[in-house]
Amino acid sequence: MAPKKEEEKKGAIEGWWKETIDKILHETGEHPHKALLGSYCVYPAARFITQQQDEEVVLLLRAHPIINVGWILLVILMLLAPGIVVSLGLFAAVPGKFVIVGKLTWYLVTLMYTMERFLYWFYSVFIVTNERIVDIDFENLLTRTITYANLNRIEEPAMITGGFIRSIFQYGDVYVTTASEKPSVEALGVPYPHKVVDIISRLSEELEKRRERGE
Amino acid sequence: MENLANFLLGVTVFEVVKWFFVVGLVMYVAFGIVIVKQVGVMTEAVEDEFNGVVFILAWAHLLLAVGLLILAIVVL
Repeated sequence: MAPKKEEEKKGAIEGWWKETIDKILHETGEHPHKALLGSYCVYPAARFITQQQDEEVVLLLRAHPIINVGWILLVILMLLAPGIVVSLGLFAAVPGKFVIVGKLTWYLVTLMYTMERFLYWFYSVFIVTNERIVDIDFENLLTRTITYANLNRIEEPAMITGGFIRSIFQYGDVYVTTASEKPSVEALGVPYPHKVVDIISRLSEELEKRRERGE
Repeated sequence: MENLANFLLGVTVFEVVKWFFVVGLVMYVAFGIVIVKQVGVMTEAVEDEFNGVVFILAWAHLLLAVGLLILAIVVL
């Protein structure tokens, strides 16, 4: 009987969370969707490392795609460079086979640079679940930093936005300070920071209410 | 000794450049392997429907690097 009761309790908690998340999303004018090339995902089906079984991803955020414009322009320039250099006759004295292999190497390096920048952007995510905030950052080739903050231990979530580009494209930085000695968790350049802060505050509030009720 | 001197005198600039290319591309292939590993670490961190495409891209990049290394050895 005991495992059955345990299962019922678990089911009730899951049901409560689902209702609560739906309520919060409704109140904040949100619905499950992906926007801005996956940089703003509400209630996605995605999973992440160390995700617990009863944990639901409410928000999955990446830096706003506009942040990538700089390196995309550089890649375009890199793609055009060999054509320009060869047409200027700078390699006229170099045998054709060296020019071809040189060009191919250059394009491969360009592909590598593109992949690196894309991977850093795509896999550096800020996740808000029904229980905690998870910040996954990739600093270099193989270094991964994961920062957690439990929603019932956070102080005040804050956001910073401003500036011409940020105002136009509606993105900014979100900072969540925790009660522990650990530094704050931050999401830099994420879309709709006001909505993110709102959802985090409401989730934290619901968790606090539930704790007060002793559930 | 004389043979070595003759060999060194017979080496052209483009032969040196060829081996620079080859050594550089060997290092690049090693880097391509690191990228495949990196993609493994990244896809493990976040499960996404796009992960498969990223894996294919990483392997394609590695295969292109190996192909270019072979091309450099054969053609140059």
